[in-house]
Amino acid sequence: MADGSAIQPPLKAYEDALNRGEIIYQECGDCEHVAFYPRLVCPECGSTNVEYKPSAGKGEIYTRTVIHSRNRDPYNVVLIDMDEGFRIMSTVEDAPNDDVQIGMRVELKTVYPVEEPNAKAGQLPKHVFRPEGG
Amino acid sequence: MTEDLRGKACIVGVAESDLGAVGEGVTPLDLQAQAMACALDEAGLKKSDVDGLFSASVYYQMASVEVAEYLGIQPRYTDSTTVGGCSFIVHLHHAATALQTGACDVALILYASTQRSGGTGFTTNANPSPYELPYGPRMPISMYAMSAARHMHQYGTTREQIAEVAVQTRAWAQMNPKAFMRDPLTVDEVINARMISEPFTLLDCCVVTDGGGAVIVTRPDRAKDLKQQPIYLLGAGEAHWHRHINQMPDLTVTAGIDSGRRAFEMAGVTPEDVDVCELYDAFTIFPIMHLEDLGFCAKGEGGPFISGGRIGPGGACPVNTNGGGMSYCHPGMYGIFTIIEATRQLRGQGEDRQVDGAQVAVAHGVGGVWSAAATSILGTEATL
Repeated sequence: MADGSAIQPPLKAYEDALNRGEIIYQECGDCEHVAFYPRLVCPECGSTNVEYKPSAGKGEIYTRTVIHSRNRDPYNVVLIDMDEGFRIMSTVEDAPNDDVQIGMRVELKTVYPVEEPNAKAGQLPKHVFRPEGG
Repeated sequence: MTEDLRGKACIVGVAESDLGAVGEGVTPLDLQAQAMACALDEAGLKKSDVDGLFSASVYYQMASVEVAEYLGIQPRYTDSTTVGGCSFIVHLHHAATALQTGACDVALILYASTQRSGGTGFTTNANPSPYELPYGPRMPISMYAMSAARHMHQYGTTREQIAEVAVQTRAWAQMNPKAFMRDPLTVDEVINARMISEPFTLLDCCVVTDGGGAVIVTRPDRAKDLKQQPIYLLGAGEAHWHRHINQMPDLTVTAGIDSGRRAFEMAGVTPEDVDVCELYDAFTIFPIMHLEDLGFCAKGEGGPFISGGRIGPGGACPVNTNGGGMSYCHPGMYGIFTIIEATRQLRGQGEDRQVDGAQVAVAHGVGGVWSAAATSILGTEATL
């Protein structure tokens, strides 16, 4: 009788990588499509021959917003085009929000663990970026 | 195989429920019942004529099943397809398909929300992405704000042009007694309102209201004997590309380029033939990008295109003649209201806001976070 699933959950692989301080993405072994977020199939060709790759953690801001809220200081949310060819959402620290603009080069600063008191179901550790060379 | 629904289905009844703030205790089912009764009455149909039911909701997972029980309808064709705010434009496409195959004879599309009075605030059925949740984007405004920021960066679209959408839409709302916001509005007021998610202020956002609507669709042979001038579906298209904003390849291009192309090809018309546009506008950047994606102007030229009053009253390209989601009503999902207003304009029932001689209209919307898109091209009998 089968015990559980043979699936190695991609979300878990991503979370484990974050906990090592690393962002991973996938490259298709058949069509070479670069994908993020990790999945069991290539979203381009449907192949299950997908490989995890570590990112060098560098990229360029594709777009950005700064959120103004009554309860906390303004904070930025960005989409970053990583040098390996995938895009992720993150936030940029160590720079004033007004300096966090489209086209800015950024690098992975660190990964914050999930804060237990605030942890929501399914919440992942949080990677944050900083200006490149910062 | 080419899909051909041109002229095969017509809209014979449209109605809103009460809009704005309906007060505590009223449910979305109540509002759908009210809208249905008005739409049946103006069409000259009875509830027992309805055998196809279409609905989407953020309240009821089995939207058409839930409302069918309340209304006492046992449909032989049912569809609760939910792709966000444009679901009802998708429903119109599906209804036409079902009517053509004989799967139903009279289709009823319904929607309502009590998000303003219900005490639940802004209600969505968004499942946040685990890859976005830790960064705290405000749903959905931050997603569209990032889209606007990219549009400004890539094409030079100005903050003033984006604000003009709200101003010109408000000018239409001032001619619609049902509109929620009817005070005059200026570009400066939009830009200087409370910042929410850069570059958007509070006045770049749609109103948050209660409200519902009903649309009744049947085949042309049946429509002949009914009370209203039939409005024909000339073309329909739908598409979806992604669910979450981090998966959208280009934040300045929506799936509307696919849904629009499909609808225009089926209709055999071009944007130049369109007299009036009803375009989903949850945020100011929407009409700018819709007009580009539908081919009214080139990609990136939406800002200059809309400026100078082109989409407002008296403009060359009337958009959102009811006051849109920006000023008229936006009860969580807005798509059904694009069909209702397009139908009224083509019947010549636009009252003070009537676009003279309107023969061809576009009802177009998106859902999710630019995730899905749906387009309907509607026309009078003269356009067949």
